[in-house]
Amino acid sequence: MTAPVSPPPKPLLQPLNAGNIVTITVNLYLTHFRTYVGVAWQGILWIVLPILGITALSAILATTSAGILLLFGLSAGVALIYCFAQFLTHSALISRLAFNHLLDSDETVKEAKTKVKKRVWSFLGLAVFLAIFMMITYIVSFVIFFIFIGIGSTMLAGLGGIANPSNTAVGVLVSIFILLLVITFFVLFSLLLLWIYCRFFVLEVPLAVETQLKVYEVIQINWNLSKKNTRYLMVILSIAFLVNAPIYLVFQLLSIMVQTLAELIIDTPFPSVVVLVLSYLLGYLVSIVGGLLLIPFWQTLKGVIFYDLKTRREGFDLQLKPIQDS
Amino acid sequence: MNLLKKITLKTPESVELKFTLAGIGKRAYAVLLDYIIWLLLLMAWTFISFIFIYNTFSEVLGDNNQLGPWFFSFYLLIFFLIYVGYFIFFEVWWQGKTPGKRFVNIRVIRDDGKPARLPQATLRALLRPVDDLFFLGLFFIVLGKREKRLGDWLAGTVVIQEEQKKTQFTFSPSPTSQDLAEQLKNQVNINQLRPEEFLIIRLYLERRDQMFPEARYSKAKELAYQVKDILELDGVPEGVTAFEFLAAVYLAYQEQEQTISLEKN
Repeated sequence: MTAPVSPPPKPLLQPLNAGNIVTITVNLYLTHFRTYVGVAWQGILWIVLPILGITALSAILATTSAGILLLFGLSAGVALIYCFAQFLTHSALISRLAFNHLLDSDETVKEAKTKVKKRVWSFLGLAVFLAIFMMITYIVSFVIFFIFIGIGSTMLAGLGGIANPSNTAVGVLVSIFILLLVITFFVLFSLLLLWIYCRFFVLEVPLAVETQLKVYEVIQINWNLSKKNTRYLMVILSIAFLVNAPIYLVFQLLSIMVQTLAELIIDTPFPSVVVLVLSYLLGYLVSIVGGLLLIPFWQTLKGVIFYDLKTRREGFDLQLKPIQDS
Repeated sequence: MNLLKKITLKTPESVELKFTLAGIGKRAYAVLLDYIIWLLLLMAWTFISFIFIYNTFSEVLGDNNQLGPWFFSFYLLIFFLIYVGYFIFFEVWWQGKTPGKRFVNIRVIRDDGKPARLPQATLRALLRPVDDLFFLGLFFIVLGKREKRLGDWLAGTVVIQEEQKKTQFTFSPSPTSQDLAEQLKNQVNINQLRPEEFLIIRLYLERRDQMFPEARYSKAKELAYQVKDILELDGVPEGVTAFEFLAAVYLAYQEQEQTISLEKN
């Protein structure tokens, strides 16, 4: 009478909390260190190698005609944009790996990569969207700011002017007013930026996980997921930053050391060009290694947060049947 | 999947206790909150005492401020007590919890599972500056199997997550759901639903308010169709929303459970 009973699906991870999100991120990061850093390394190479190559080529081509140089510049620009898109894709790949690990449906880097790579240009599209969005935010905020300053000071000056044309107090009043406005504006503007950062913190991750999505759908998903959770996200990011602080500190110290070294060399009567170049290269190396360690951490965090938001906002973990792989 | 580290502690009576370790995230969060509170306390005390000293000496004592150094030493003494005592006091008084730890639901216990007391709290507090230096404690917590910072090693303590007390799930079903629940009890064998599947329905009802509207709707529909299949119903009842159907299943199952447990007793 009874139908064949399938085993119940393994219970998925339920909504977490800010603290555990960071702990899980750290644990995932450490247990998958080689995989995630490996992917980040490939991503960074997509930026470093082209820059080195273009630098070398332009040095060779420097003596040729302007036409060739222009052509070379244009093609180099396009190539760099593509390479940047590749870098973004590799970063997103780390988030996908972390997300799928939480789902208990691990895949190899190769498998994941073939899926994600189809959407290279869409990852770039998302980055462009965010850049334009931020630009508009900046412009609108500053326009509003200057309108306020203009109206406010004119009104104050006008009022003072009617009462007493030669009043220096009006000047003081206007300066105090402007100062207060600048401070208020600065605080509000920082909060706005942080808010936007939180609303789009997992920007590319939905696309990395569900590669068939369209760019506008990804933005919509971001908006829906982070709604009502902005403060929660701010707490998570603060804790994550605190936990990251030692690594930042180490790399800050290293880059200061390299800088001092370079300055010491410049101060010598006959600075050796080779040593100077080497010290600059060392500086780049430090920042590359820093990125290599930090990018996987933040991308893992994005994957974990995306999972958590999906459980909270979509009830994603509530499954009576095992999830079908997309 | 070991996303959060777990440990098993042995009590002196050889009873094994399992705990989930607090984890770096919760500990960092707690310490962040504690440092903010601690700083505010120190600032408040400084503020209050300076206002007090200023008022007393300018009004009551006038120029004769022989008492000044005494008041100042008193201020320093209390300042020092807050500075050193904050963590010790709370970890002893609240059995291993500071305000920050209480907020994030973690607790300090001894290696044998007993609550931390004065000696442990003191040792942890004494080693705190060392652990904070160059984030030494953080490395120990992240890389260690038992997440012990130096203070924990010396005091013989671990920091664990406390089971969150489940608030009783209260749920007021609509009349439609109640009627449907009665029907379902007669129509189908509600026990075809497994406990873990029932739990999923319950979690949906609990958490649906946090979901965004479309997801709330589509999730209900998805679950309702699956439940229909599990219960071998011919079709979803007409004129009932997916949400009401799920609520009815929840009610029917819950009442059945209650009758079973009553019979057992």
